[in-house]
Parts: sequence; structure tokens; C-alpha cells
Amino acid sequence: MTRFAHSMLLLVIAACNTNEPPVPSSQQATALLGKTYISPGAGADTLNFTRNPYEGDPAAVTQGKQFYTWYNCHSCHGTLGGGGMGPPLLDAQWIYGGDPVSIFESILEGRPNGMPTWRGRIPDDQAWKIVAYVQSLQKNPAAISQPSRVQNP
Amino acid sequence: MATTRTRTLRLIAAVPLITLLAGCQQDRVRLEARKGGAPSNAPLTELQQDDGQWVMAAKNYASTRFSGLTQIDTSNVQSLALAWSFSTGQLRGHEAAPLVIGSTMYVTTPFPNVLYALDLEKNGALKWKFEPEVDRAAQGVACCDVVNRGAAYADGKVIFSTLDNHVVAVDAESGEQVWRTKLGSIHRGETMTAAPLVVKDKVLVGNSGGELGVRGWLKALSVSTGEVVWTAYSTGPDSDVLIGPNFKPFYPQYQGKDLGVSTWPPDQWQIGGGTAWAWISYDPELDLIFYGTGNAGVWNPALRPGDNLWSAAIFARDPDDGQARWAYQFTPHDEHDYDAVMENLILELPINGQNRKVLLRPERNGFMYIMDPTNGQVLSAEPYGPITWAERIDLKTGRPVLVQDKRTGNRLATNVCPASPGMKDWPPSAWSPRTRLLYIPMNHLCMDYRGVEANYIAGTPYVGAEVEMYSAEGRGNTEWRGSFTAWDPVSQRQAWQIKEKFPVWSGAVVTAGDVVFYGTLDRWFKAVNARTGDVLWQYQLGSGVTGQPVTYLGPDGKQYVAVLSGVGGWAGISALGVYPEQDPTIGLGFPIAVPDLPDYTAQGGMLYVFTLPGPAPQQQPQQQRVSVR
Repeated sequence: MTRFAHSMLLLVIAACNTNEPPVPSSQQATALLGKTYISPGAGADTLNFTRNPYEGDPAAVTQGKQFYTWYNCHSCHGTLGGGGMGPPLLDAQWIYGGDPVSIFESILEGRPNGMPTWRGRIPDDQAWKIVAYVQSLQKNPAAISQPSRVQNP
Repeated sequence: MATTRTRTLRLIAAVPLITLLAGCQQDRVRLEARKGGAPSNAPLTELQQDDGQWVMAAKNYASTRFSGLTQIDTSNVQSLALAWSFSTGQLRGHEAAPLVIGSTMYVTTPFPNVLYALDLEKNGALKWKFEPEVDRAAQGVACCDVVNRGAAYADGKVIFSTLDNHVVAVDAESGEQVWRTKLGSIHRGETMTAAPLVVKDKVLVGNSGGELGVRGWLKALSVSTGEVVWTAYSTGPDSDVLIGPNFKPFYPQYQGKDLGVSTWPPDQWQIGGGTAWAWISYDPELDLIFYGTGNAGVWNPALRPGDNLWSAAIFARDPDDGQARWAYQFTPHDEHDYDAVMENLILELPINGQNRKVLLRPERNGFMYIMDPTNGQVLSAEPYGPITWAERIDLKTGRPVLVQDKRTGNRLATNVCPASPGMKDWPPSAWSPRTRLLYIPMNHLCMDYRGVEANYIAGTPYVGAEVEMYSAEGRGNTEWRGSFTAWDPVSQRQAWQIKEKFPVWSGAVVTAGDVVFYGTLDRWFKAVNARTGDVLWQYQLGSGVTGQPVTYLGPDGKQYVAVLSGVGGWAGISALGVYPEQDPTIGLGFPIAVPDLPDYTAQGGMLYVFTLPGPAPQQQPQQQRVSVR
């Protein structure tokens, strides 16, 4: 049922793409390529994404952290997801979606602004464990924000 | 056009006969430059003498960034005002020097590397823009923001690098592409960020990517066709490094076959770094180019026993065939990411009471090197800021005397000074022949460095180090993390210093009006008395300054100062939406040293151009130009 709902959503998105107005510049196109939660036709909020099979499994999170380092994820996104060459993974802002499936897809398929594709290099099972680790980084996205400081006098 | 004609007549009438004879060559160049923007075909050796223009990032082959212009001086710089500005439409770190050719200014942006041509006859109106179609994926292999340090000019062409490893030549008049050559691959982690340098009929440019196991090189391309004429690798066998019979280094440790292979563990040289990602100088008299090579790859030195030649070194090469004449390694077996890509200034200095030609080099490892440009002998090497990693440079061997406690490898070394970005990083210094001082944008940072394991996966970072940087005054000090310093290389001491809240990540320019300009990450653009260090004027720009200021004469005969603002680069990563306080080793340990930067600046690229109020002063144009010779 969940799988069915998910593929329906993909269909809706695919259908909508054909009706999108032409984008004026490559810059704006870059921004639009990001995954969005806006879903015309209503009902997106109630959809359940496919779950990570390892979600909440502490052993998988530990293993995932190991893979996260072995495959050099940490070098771009930070050991604790603070970002750097790549975007941070510990806040609530996701260019291509922060749900487990989207993170999994980002790892396997890559993303156009520099995320490499790991298909054929990271086995699915390991990728899901990396997703579990990444999910563990963002348990409390609301608590993560840059504190404000005294302004330049 | 009326202005141009009037100016031409005035110039001819005003120039005394004697200087007319002596300076006719220069005048021709100057006049040509003022003819409504037609780009000059004069050789760069002539064009760079004209203080009205700015034809290469470093102003001249000697890399002095000194302008003979005098309209703006210490008595009037207080009235400097904004003439015009221009948004680049880009958000990331703007590290370029604008070029001024004739009556057109050329500006390159960070990725996607747009080239703008702005009409100086019309207050910077857009003439054309050139968008080179850069592979977006290149953003994912740029270690330290997606920067670009500027263009080169020759023969009616503006030539620059793109992040995805192309060099593009664009017709300076029409904005049409003339040629485009692919030089590297992002799949190996390569990018290109440097400003090329044109010498004779060749464009010289190197690659970036020392944090991704890239093998460094410098290539020479034909200015007219873009074809690669020669490639000199920084590591590997002599045949790849272009070391042959003419190689005559001063120190004996550099004599031997294939040292670029034998000073590494097996095959490590193939991913050994030494990228030539910043400055090149040229001495027409010696007919040699000088440029440095970056850090050894991988960062963790325990993984690459040996001296790791020719990383963190300088090469002198024949520009025609690329053959090395000499080399010298500043930091053997680099343990701290001390890339040796700093600018090389070719100067005449009195050394031991005798005037001689020298190569002056404010090195990232914290020592100020004065070298013999003919053979690479180190004449002196004194610290120009706080150093803990080495006691001194042994002039007999040319090698640093290491402090064991500060060595890294598979261990934690604390309080290592300078930090990885060095006493200074790529932001170039400026030299005034009037004050005989070098004006240096500096960091004031130390670090803790822990070597860890690293996996080489092509196209991903290859570092193996966890670094945290902090003020050289101590952890938590946010008042002094950078400096702007005037250094006297002859007496080997500091003339004056301005302490800055943040590392100084902009270039410098100094003028015959004895004013030196630089910008700060907290977005101040400053004019300083070159003799005293007094800040005479400052202006708050829209975003932090990581660009290289330049100065030139407008078609109206007035002196202008131009600078790009737009925070970014390695020093500016913390302003690009990352979380150093939650994850202290991100961004190679730099953001944690400046986590407060977002409180002072946001992103946004903008060109600012300043001048004095009122019309051009009624003085002889000849007086405008104090010879740089």
C-alpha cells in the first residue's frame, strides 16, 4: 500500500513536470531541481515514505558511521554532518529531500551539483546503514541553529 | 571620443621633449589603450608598464602589485567615494582581480565562471557577458569553495580557467569564444581555480585539488590556438617533471634521477598533490618563470614517508619548453599542509651591502625567503610571524630544523603555528619600491592536527587529518585572527602591523601615492598609509572581501580603485551555511577558527569601484606614471 502510494506520488510529480513553465536561467533551474514536498492535488502530507530497514537500529548506526568514513562521506559532509565541501546533514534543510528514501537515492544516484553516484560501489545494504547514521545526525534538527551573537559594534 | 581627443592633444603638448623620446614606447601603448576600448596587441612587457591599465592579476611579471598612479594619495584618500558598482549575480567566494584593458574591465566570477566585460566609458555599463557552460558536478570536488582568481590577457584575448578544468580564450572585443581546451578531469578530483599567466606566446596555468589526491601539473598552451605545448608534472619521473640536462639546483639533495618517484612510497607520487594552483612570476632578463607547488597528498604524512618531491616546492623553468632550471623544496615531507604556492616577487635588494636581483617569497610555512633567482639558493629565511613547527631554516642545507613535538603523522600535535592556511595563504602581497616594504595579508592562527587513516577514492577528498584551528593568541580569542603587515625584507623586521579580527583573505595593492589597499572578511575595504600603517579611509562593502584590489586610470583621466567583495574561499566557508560548532573538524579545520563570521557577513558578489570626487586633476599625464622599472 505504501509502495503504491509512493509510486502514485512519483507519477503526480512526473505529470506536473510537463506543465512547468520554462525556466529563465540555469541558476534558477539548479534551484528548481531540488526535491520538493509541495504536492499539487493534496494528500502528500499523509503519505508514508518507505522506511529505512535499519532505522533506529543502534548496531546499524555504528556500522553506518564506519562506512560513512570509509567511503569518504565525512570529508565533504563532516564527521557529524556539519558540512564543508558538501552541504550539512544535521539541519532541517535538504536540497534533495531528507526522508530515508531520498537520502538513499542521493547516495546511489548522486546529485547534479557534485554529489557523486555510488551505484555499483556501495552495496544497498551498506548504503541503508549510512542512511541510518545520517538519520541519527538529524534527530533534533530544531535544536540545531547558529546562535546569535553580539553584532559588530 | 571628445574626451579622448582632448586628452591626446594635452598629452602631446605637455610632454617635455626629453621624456617624449625616452617614453615614446610607453606613450604609444597608453594612447592605444585610451582609444575607445580597442584591445591592444602590444606585448605584455609593454602593457604592464602602463599604470593606466591592469593587464594581469599581479600587475606585472615581477608580481609587485605596485601602481605608479598618484592622484589618490595620503592627503586626499579620505574623500574616496563610490563611483559605481556591479553585481556579479554569484554567491560564492570572489577571489579574482579585475583586469583593465583599454577602456574595458574584465571580471571573472566563481563557479559558474561568468566573464563580464564592463565599459569604463560608461560607468561600468555591461558590454557583454560570457557564460562558459561549466559542469555543475565540478562543485563537488572543489576543496575550498568554488573560487576563481582571475583572468589573463594577451593579443586581444581574455583567457581564464573554469572549475571543470577548461581554459577558455574569449575575444576581448566581441565576447566570442576563440578557443577552449580541456586540461583535467573532475573524476580524478581535479579543478582549476588559478589565474593563468601569459608569457610570450604561451598561456601558463596549473591545476588544483591537493586535498583530493590530484597529481599536480603546470601546462603551457598556445595563446593563438589553445593547444597544449608542454606539461610539467610536480611528481613522478624526470621525464614527466621536465628535469633534464639544464637542471642545475643549488642544493645537492635535488640532484639525482627521478627524485619525484624515489622520495615517495611506491606509486604514491601518482596521487601525491603538488598542484600548482596559484601564482606564477616571470623574469624576462633570465627568461625564467617561477611558480610553487602545493601540499603533498595525502595530508597525513605517516602515509608517505620521504621528502615527497616536488611537492611544497618552487620551480624555475624555461617558458619555451618547460624544462626546469632549478628547484627548491620549502617544506620537505609536508606535515602541516604548507602548500608552497605563494607569489614570487622579483626585486633588487641590497643583500649584505650589495644590490642584487632576488626572489622574495613570503612563504606559507611562516618564513620569509630571499632567494637567488638564478639557482635557488636561499640567502635568508626569517620568520615573519609566530612559528612553532620549525626552529629555523638551515641555510647550508636549505632544510627546516624541525620541532619534534610539532610533527604530525599518526598522532596529535597541538599548538602548531602557523596553522594549515599558513602565515599567509594565496592572497598576494604588494611591494612598493618607494617605501621598500612588502605589504602582506596574513593569518594569525595556530592549530591542533591529528593524522588519521585515509582512503583514496578517486574524485573524493584524500586528507587523513583532523584539524582544529584557533587564534595564535589562544583558543576562544576572537579579536586577533589575522594581520596586515608591512615587512622590511632587508632589515628583516616588521615596519608596522594592523591586527584584524579575521584572517586577511584579500590581496593587496600599493600605489605611488603611498596608499595601500586591502579588504577584510568582516567586509571593510581599507586604505592605509603605506609608511605608517595608519588607516586613512575605510568603506563597508556588502560582503566580506576575498578578492584582489586593483587601480587604474579611467578614460576620463581619473584614478580608480576596484575590488570584488563576496565572502567565501577556505577562510569564508563558515559563512556558507555550515556548522563548525557542532562538528569542529569540518572545512579542514578552518571554520571552527571563525565560527562568528556569519554574524558579520553574508554571501553575495559585488564589484565596487572608487574614485575621488570632482574632475580629473589638471596635471601632466606623464606625472601620473612613476616608472616601475
